[in-house]
Order: sequence, then structure tokens, then C-alpha cells
Amino acid sequence: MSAPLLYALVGAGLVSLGAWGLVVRTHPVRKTVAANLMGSGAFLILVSAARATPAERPDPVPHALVLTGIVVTMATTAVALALAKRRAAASEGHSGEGASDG
Amino acid sequence: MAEPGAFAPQLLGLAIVVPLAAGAVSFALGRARAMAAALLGAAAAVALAAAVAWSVATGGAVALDIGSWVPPLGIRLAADGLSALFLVLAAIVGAAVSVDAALASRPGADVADRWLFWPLWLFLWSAVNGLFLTADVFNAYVCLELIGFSAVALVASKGSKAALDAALSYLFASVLGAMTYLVGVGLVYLASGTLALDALDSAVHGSASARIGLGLMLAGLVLKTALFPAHFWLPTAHSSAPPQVSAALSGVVVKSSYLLAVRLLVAATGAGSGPGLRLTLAALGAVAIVWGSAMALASQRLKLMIAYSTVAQVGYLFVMLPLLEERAATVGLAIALHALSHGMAKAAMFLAAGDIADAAGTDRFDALAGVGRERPVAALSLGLAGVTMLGLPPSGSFAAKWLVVQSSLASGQWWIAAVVVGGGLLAALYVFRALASLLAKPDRSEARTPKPRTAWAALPLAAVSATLLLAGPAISRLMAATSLAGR
Amino acid sequence: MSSVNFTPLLFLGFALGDTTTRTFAATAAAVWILAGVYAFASEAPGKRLRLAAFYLPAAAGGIACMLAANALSFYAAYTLAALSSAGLVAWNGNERARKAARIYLALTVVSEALLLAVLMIAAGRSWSWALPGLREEWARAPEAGLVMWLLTASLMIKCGSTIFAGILPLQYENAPAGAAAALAGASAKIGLLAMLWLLPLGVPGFESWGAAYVAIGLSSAFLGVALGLLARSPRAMLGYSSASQMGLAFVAVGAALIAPRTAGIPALAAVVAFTVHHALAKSALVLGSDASGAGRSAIGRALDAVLLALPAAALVGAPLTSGFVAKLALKSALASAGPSPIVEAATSLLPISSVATGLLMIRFLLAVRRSAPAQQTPPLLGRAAWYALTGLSAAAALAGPWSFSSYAREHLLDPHAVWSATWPALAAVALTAAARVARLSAPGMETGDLLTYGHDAGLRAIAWLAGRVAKRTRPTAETRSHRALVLDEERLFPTAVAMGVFVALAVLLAVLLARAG
Repeated sequence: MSAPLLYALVGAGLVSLGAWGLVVRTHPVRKTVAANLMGSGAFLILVSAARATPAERPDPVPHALVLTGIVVTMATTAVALALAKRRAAASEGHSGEGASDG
Repeated sequence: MAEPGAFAPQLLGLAIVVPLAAGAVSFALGRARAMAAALLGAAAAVALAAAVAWSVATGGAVALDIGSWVPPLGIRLAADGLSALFLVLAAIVGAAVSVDAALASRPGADVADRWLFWPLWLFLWSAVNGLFLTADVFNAYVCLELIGFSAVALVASKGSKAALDAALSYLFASVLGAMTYLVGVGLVYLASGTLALDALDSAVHGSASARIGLGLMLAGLVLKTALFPAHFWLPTAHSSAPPQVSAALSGVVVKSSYLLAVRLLVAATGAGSGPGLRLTLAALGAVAIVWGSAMALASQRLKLMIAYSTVAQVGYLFVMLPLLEERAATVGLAIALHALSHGMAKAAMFLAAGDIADAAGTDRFDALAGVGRERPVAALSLGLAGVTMLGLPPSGSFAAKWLVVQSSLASGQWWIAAVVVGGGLLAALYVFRALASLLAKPDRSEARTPKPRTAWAALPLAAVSATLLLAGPAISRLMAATSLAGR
Repeated sequence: MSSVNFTPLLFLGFALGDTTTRTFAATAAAVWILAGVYAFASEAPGKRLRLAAFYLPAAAGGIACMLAANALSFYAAYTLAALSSAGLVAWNGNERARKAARIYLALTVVSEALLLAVLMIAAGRSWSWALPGLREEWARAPEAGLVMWLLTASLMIKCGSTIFAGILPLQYENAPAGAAAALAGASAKIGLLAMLWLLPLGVPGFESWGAAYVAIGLSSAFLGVALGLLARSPRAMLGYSSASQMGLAFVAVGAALIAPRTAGIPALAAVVAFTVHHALAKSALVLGSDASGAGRSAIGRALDAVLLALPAAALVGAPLTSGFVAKLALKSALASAGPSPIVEAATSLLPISSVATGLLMIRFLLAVRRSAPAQQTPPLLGRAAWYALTGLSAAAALAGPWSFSSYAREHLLDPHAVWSATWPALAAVALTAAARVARLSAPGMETGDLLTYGHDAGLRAIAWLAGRVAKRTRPTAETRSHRALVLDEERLFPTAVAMGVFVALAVLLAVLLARAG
């Protein structure tokens, strides 16, 4: 089994695991971890595309994509964690809040 | 390439960069000057959208390779007629939303961090423009994520538990969709080595794994566009957000992923292949129309009803897809007309609903009696937007409906015509119900303390959508520069 | 066709068309204007603005409909008139009026949707919107059968045929008097114009449809009167009478469908004559039922009684009235439809329907006289409008309809024809007298009959269904405070399930595409 194929298969596996976690888990932090897992799987698939052709130099494009993707995933994780923290604070602080539904 | 000046391609880049820069500047300026900088940026964005539309109308499709780097390493932006029309939609809705937010933040407004609305809103606008103009599928992923977290932050901005819950649910749905899309992009690149939107059809032709990737990309976009059954995040998100945010989300954001989905679909299934896919999407669209209308009717809150109405209207956009194959030009025009009129009408409805909720203190239907008299402008905007929802002439959605019925009859797919006409009837039910509760006589005259707000921004928006038929010639001219015919 | 084209933009076109549309337009204009004068004059000054907000668009739509030159403007005007009229029906604001408006609106929206479907299919073949020639377009298409079903359903709702008879009395009873007169005189006529434009009147091949239309018309004619005899208020009786009279228009059109070559023109003449007659007479009656007999001198009351009796006699088809001309035209249409069982049945039943109408009219006049002392005197302007409308109705016998039906012209003073018009009226009087002597009285019935019962039953069913679903979703305190839904989607389908469904969908789309190549 060649390296690119291995990477791709592992990537697919991680995507499935991550998707499962994202769907099934209810706690926001667990969901965030699962999303990151899914992202990592996608990046592995992209990385495997860099060596897909048996050429001398690896293809730089997937590397660029993965780098961009990592940055985006980091930003998403930050937003998710901040929201989760805010939500936890809201349910501890004001138990009767939530009346403004307009 | 465009003839009137080699400047036209640069407009595409500016359409993305200018709102982004304005957002950054307004964040840097802090509470005092944020709104002023943002309004300037909004005005510039509107002007840019008009300029792009003009150059596409006069010179045909425009394209730009950013920094002159060659794809796939470089990013390519392209504007054809349909993108230009959606840019114009974003501009019109964006202008109304900005004006409404400016009116709502007069001295005396109570939410402390309101000024952060401006940078977030401009980032959202910039990302939406990016999605309309991108010709590179990975760049589309980036724009999708950008839209995702700007929108999520905006939804959460009210700070209440309901808003935070809605924002979290929206975030995870958005992430699921974007990740699915990314996996799809990975597969496509793995199989074909290209990221260009217009090269996709030949890339997909030979390779099964590329087609699987395309399917995943489509699925991710379906989730972002909230097509049934992937709409579960939309009602709470759109109904718990501040009204200007809901207007932007329902009016524009939902259409941005749709545009990309249509282009992908055309690339993947031109020339007779893939009827199963189109029919599946259309069937889901039909269910969306019925389900969304039923849930809208069952809602007890005005904003929730409007959000479910968006679910139904998204169904329309998908139900016409099987017809694209044979009658691309007509159906393309119908798509443009429907998206534009619905986008504007929905935004107007949310802005008006915000005004009404301010007057009544809540948006529950049983508390709205008599508000129609207090806020006649809002009630009128709702009524005019209702004209578009029902598909009455001279609104653009009437024209779209007519074109779809003609095409569906001509190509023998009757059920599409039946669904489309039936949907208008269902829309009549919930629109009339909303208007009736607004115009009912209040049982007792309560002393209301209305907050200083008016729905002046909603009214022109609703009026334009209700008379969009007048702009028909201009729209078809722009659509002439589009090709949705696939291979 | 002389086309003075207004607003060529927006795909909307209006034109002063041929004589038929001009007649329709002139009649509609007369009714809307005179009834409008009455309506505004008898309304309190504070409410006039609100009345104008509903009345004027309805009038504009009603008149524009008659002048439409293409299907789009016809539909737009039709919609405008129908929806604005809902506001007139709900005028009183009490629960009864609102219920009537709800029923009216629901039925109207359905009828309009059906009509829109018909227009789209009809215009779709050639992508041309123009009204003249539209019916030939679709009549030869393979979908002609479907179009006929849709069109028939739409027309039946609009004109109050058979089971929909209640829709007309619901409108007349609840709108203010002037508006009710306008609705009576002009609104249902839009349906007649739609019939003329859209039904395949000159095209062979629709004989069985023609027989069906004649049957529908006859049953509406009798059912309308039967329900009217059970009605409680004078205006409801007039509404049911309109439903029954519209049935006669169906009969005329049915005759044209049965024998397109021979009966086409006489049927057209019959419908036009009928429109003019009925519009003027019925609206005069509505105004009269409101304006007559209130606290005036004996001479005044006698004058009012005569003025009320004139249009009533016209409806029965008494000689020298516009009704006489219309019925003659109808007879000639049936006569030229050739020998067939249904046509013969219609011809023999026609005088019976006149008797029935006579019974209803007598009952109406008596009811008006009973309720007269309780009326308020309408202002002078309103009274003048009523007189003018009655005068027009009387004059119509001598003027317009003349030119349409040569048969009518020839037989206007023919003794045989005069007798066949007189005896139904006499029979009606005799029957009423006999019923009085035998102390027969009709039980009162809720106006709107089937429709009201259907509406109530429907509401109960929806409430039951919502209750069943609500029980399943078991809203918790949190749900109630945050979202306050009766049907809570998240309870029905938890988020995890929804996301899981999405993943399945993603797989499905991928598979569909993978196999597509």
C-alpha cells in the first residue's frame, strides 16, 4: 500500500469519526473536537493528493490549501469555544433569563 | 474580458476587499466612529456592485486572476450575469439593512455592544460577495466558513439564552456543512488536479471519485442553503437574531450557497446525465415548500413564521432544477427573478417585523393586535412583501412562477407546475394570518412605550420586490451573459 | 377591434375592445359609480376614508377587468377586485362578518389559483398573452380536458354554482348596503366575462361539457331559489337569487358548447343581455332593500314599493322589462342548440325557474316591508343614486339588449312570448297566496349554508389535529418560555436526528452522482 493511499484512507476514517461525533455528541466542546477531527481528516485527504502523481516534486497546491484550512479551522474553533463559554455563563448566571424572544 | 476599460476586472477584487477593509477600520475606530466608517463602506460596496453589474451588462462576463497568479495556485474571480444580479441583491438588501441598523441605534438604544454589529456585518457582506464572485472551489470553502462565523456571531449578539442556543446550533450545522464540502473538494482535487469551477465538468467526466466529491460538495451547500431536511438550524437562528441580521441572513446569505450549488450542479450533470440527482433535489424542494408553509402557519411568533417561510421559499429554488437541463435560459431567468424578489421581500419582512416587535414588546401573534395602526409603515411593508410571497403580479416572483410553469408544461413535468402554484396558495394562508393579527382591534388599549424606530428602510425594499417585473428587461439583459446550460 | 392602448409597459394592456367588452365595462362602471355614491353618502364621515380604501381598489379592479386586453391585466384586475372586496365583506368587524370574509377569501383565493393555472396553460402554448384568440389556442391542445376541469371549478366558485351558492349571500349580507349592491351588480359579472373569454365557445368537441354546464346551470337555478326561500334576511335572499340567476348564464354557455356553430352567437347575445339585466336589476334591489320605506309619507312609501317591485319583476322576466329580453335571448340560444335531451329539459324547466324566482322575489318584497320601519332614512344623494340605478334598469329593457339579440327584438311584443313571461309571475303569486292560507312557513337557515358548516367543521378538525400533535410533543416549561410553539419542530425531530439525516443525504447525493457518469 502506497503512502498516499494510506493517507487518504486514514483521512476518510477520521472524517467519518468526526462526522459521527459532530452529529451524536451534545456538549459543545465535544462537538468542537469532533469538528476538528473531521477537518484533520479532510486535510489528510488533501495531503495525499500532493503525492498522487509519481512526479519529482510534490504538488504545492494542496499544501497551500491545507495551511489555509488550518487557519480557518482554528478561527472556527475559537468562535465555538467562546460561544460555548458565553452560553455556560448565561445558564449559570441568570436562570430565569431568556424572556426576550422577540 | 470586458472592453470598457481594463479596470472592470479590478472591480471584482474591490467588491470583496472594500467591505472587508471598511469592517476592519470600523473595528479599529471603536465605539464612537464605527457606524460612520461602516456606512461609508456600505455605500462603497453598493456602488461597486452597481459598477460590476453595469460592466457585465455592457461588456459580457468579467474575470480576474488575483495578483496575476495562475490558477490553481492563484485565485480566480469571475462575474457573469447571474453573479452580478446576486451582487446587486446583496447591495440592495445590504443598503436597507445598514440604514435600518443606523436608524435603530439612535441615542437611547439599550444594547451596549451594538457597535460591534458594524464590523461583523461588513465582514459578512464581504464574504458573501466573495462567494458570489469566486471561480475557485476552495476559495468558496473559505468564504463559506467566513460567512459562517460572521453570521453566527451576529446571531449571538443579542446575548440571550435563546440567541446563544440558536447560534451554537447554527455554528455546528455550518461547520458540518463546510467540512463536508471540504472533503468533497479534497476528493475532486485528488481525482482531477483542478480547482476551477468552469473546468469541473471535464474533471468530473471520467472519474467516479471526483463525482463522489462533487456530491459531497453539493450536500454541504444544501445544508448551508437549508433545503429540507437540512433546514433544522434555520428557524431558530433566523428568529432569535436581531432583525437586521435576520434580514441579511434570510435575504442574502441563504442565496449565496445556492448560487454555488447551481453552478456545481450544472457542471456535474449537463447533457442528460444525473436525472436522479436533480429529481431528488426537486423532490426535497417540494417537501420543503409544504413543510415550511405548514410550520409557518403553526408558528405563534411572527419572526418564526417568516423564518419558516424562508424554508419554503428555498424549496422553490430547488424545485425548478430539473428543468434547467432543457430550458436553461428560461429557468435561469426564473431563478434570478425568484431569488431577487424573495431575497428583498424576506429582508423587508424581517425589518418590518423588528419594528413591530419593538412596538409591541414581543413578536407573539396574540400580542400584536392593533400594532398595524401604530406602525403603518411596517404593516404596509409586510403587505407589499406578502404580494411577492404570494406571487402576485407585478412582482418578480409572479414572473418567475409563470416562467417555471411554462417550462414545466413544455417539458412534460407537470408536477413542478402544480407544486409551484400550490405553494403560492399556502403562502397566502400564512401571510393573511399575519396581516390579520396585525390589523385586529386590540381588546384593551394598553399603554405601550414604543422605542424610537421606524420601518422606513423596509418600505422601499418591499416596494421594489413587489414591482420587480418592471426591471424585467434589465434582468434578462444581464442573464443573457450567463450560461447555465452545462456541457 | 379598436385598440386605444393604455400602459403598453409591464405587459399590462387595456383596450376599448369590441361591443361585448364595452357593454360589460359600461354596465360595471354604472353600477360601481352609482352604488359607490350610495355607499359614501350613507356612511358616517369618519369612516369614509376606510371605505374608500377598500371600495376604490375594488371598483378600479372591477372596471379594469372588463377592459383588459391580455390575460395578465385581466388576472391582475380580477385579483385586485376580489381581494379588496374581502375588506368590504368584513366591514362590520363583528364575528359574523369576519367569518363571512374568511370563507369568502378562502374560496376566492382558490378560485383565483385555478384561474391562474388556466391562464398559464392557455398562454403557454404560444407565449402570447392576448385575450382574443386565447380560447382557440388551448382548446386544440392535448391538455384541453384538464383546462376545462380547472376552469369549470374556478367559475363555479366565483359564480356561486350548486354547492358554492352560499358565497354570494355571505357577501351581500355583511357588506354595507352600497358596497353590497356593487358586489351584487359587478362582482359576479367578472366571472361571466371570464366565461366568455376563456370557454371554448366556438370550438367543436366539447358537447359533453356543454351538457354538463346546462345541468350545472339548472341545478344552481333551483338550488339557489330553494336555499333563498329558507334564508332569513332580505339581502341573503337576494344573494341566493343571484346564485340561481348565474345558473342561467351557465345554461346559455352550455348551449353554445353543445352546438358551437349554430348556438354560438345567440348564446353570446344571451349572456350579454343577461349581464346588463341582472347587474342593474340586482344592484337596484339591494339598494332598495336598504333605502325603501323608512319613515316617509304614505305616498313616499308607495313610490318606494313600486320602485322596488320593478327590478324584482325584471328578475322574474315580466314583459317589458330587461329580464324579459334576457330570457328571450336565452330561449333563442337554447332553441338554436339543436334537439338533445338536456336542451329540451332546459327549455321546459326555464319557465319553472321563473316561477321559483317569482316565489323568492315575493318573499323578498314581503321581508323588506316587514323590516322597513326599522330602517334609517338614507341621505338625499343616496336616494338619488338608488333612483338612478332603478331608472337605468328599467331603461335597459328598451336600450342596449335590443342590439344583441335579433330574436328578442322580433319577439318583444309577440303575444305568445308575452304570455309565456307573464304566467310564471302569476303562478308565483298564486302559490304564495296558497302557502299563506295553508300557514306554511319556512324554517330559517344560517346564511352561507354548506360553506359555513364546512368552515366550522374544518376549524374543528384543525384544532383536533393540532391537539393530537401537541400531545405528542409535550412542550416543557423551557420550550414554552423560549419558543412558545404549539408544534415544536425540535421536539418532533431532535437535532442529532436531523444532522444524521443530513449525513445520509450527503451519502445519497454522492452515490447518485457517482452512478450518473
